Amino acid sequence: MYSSELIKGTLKTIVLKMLAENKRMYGYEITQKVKDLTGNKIQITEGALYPTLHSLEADGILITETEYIGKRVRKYYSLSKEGQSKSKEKVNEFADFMNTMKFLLEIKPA
Amino acid sequence: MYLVSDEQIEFILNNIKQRGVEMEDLQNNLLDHICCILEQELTEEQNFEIAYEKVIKQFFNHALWEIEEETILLLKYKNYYKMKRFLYILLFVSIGYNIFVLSKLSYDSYKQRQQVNEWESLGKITLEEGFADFIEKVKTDHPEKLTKEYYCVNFIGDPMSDEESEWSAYRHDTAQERKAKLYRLQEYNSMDSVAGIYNKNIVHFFAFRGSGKNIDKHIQEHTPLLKNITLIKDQRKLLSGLCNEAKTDIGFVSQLVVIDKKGKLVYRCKYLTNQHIFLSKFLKTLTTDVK
Repeated sequence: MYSSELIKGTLKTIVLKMLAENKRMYGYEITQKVKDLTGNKIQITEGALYPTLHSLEADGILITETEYIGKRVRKYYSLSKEGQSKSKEKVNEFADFMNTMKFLLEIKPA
Repeated sequence: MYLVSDEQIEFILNNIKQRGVEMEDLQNNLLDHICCILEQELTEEQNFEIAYEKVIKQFFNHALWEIEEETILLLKYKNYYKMKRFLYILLFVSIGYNIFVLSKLSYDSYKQRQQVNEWESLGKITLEEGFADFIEKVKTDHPEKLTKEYYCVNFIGDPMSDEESEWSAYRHDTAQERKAKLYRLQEYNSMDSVAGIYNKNIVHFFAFRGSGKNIDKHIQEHTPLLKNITLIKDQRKLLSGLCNEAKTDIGFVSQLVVIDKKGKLVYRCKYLTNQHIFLSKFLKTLTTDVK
């Protein structure tokens, strides 16, 4: 499992990418999906996920719809139009960052 | 799969509230999330409350309300940055606007100063070299004219224009000599007293130097009062050299125009062949034509 610092910096990108590939998702679903895809290597904590989701929603990057599951309410998140381009932008930025890091760390091994 | 009952849902929701989470949106998210975990992980045999306590502890380091605090902080900071960005934009816009206004003001005042300098210095030179005698004559022979608000004397034109130098006595000067001469001309600031006396009574009296094509431009730039006057460009004669005892050339005049305070043309002298003709003509006009 990766350190929380690493996850924190990439959480937005992860969430946006998940939503780009799965039309709409709820919080728990996102954490499970990421966990499965990464073979438990990335475990998103609830304490980090929900503040990020709320903040992205306030930014207009995510749109929400709610559904009742019995007595409880489930909030589904999906990308807004702005969110779709933001998602691509974030993923590209991170890919570029990874290349830079790769280059940086390879020529200067610790 | 374990199914969380309605009572348990109520219990969890109340517990979330008790733990200090106030945002309804967040309460619902946490409730659903906890239920999902419980439904995935719990078996019928396990004790719900013990399992719940275990799950809820995964959500925080110290207290559950930390999630809400983090959410509020993120939302707040977003606004804070937005506000900061807005303030910066406002600051830059206002700085830019101020620079624009200031530069415009200073350009305008520079332009005005430039015009005033050209206007006044040349005007005073004309008075001294070309019309001082005339003014003296008006003073002694027709003092009554100076009690009426008639004229002031001015002179417009560009002493360094190429076309003009063709006609003026500058034409044999080197550029350096011209510069020196121009500088000397501009030193006639002490003529204020002369101009001042007449300014009291005399309104506008313009002497145009022949600057060829430029003269129309000069007139437009320098005095809106002259917009209705048609220039007779071929009547270019050297005035100052003839007027001046020392025969010092300071330029030449194509015509003289007199305008009253309201901007109405009251006199135009086209034949500035020599001082006497000019003076007598002008004096005659003063005593006969001007109402």
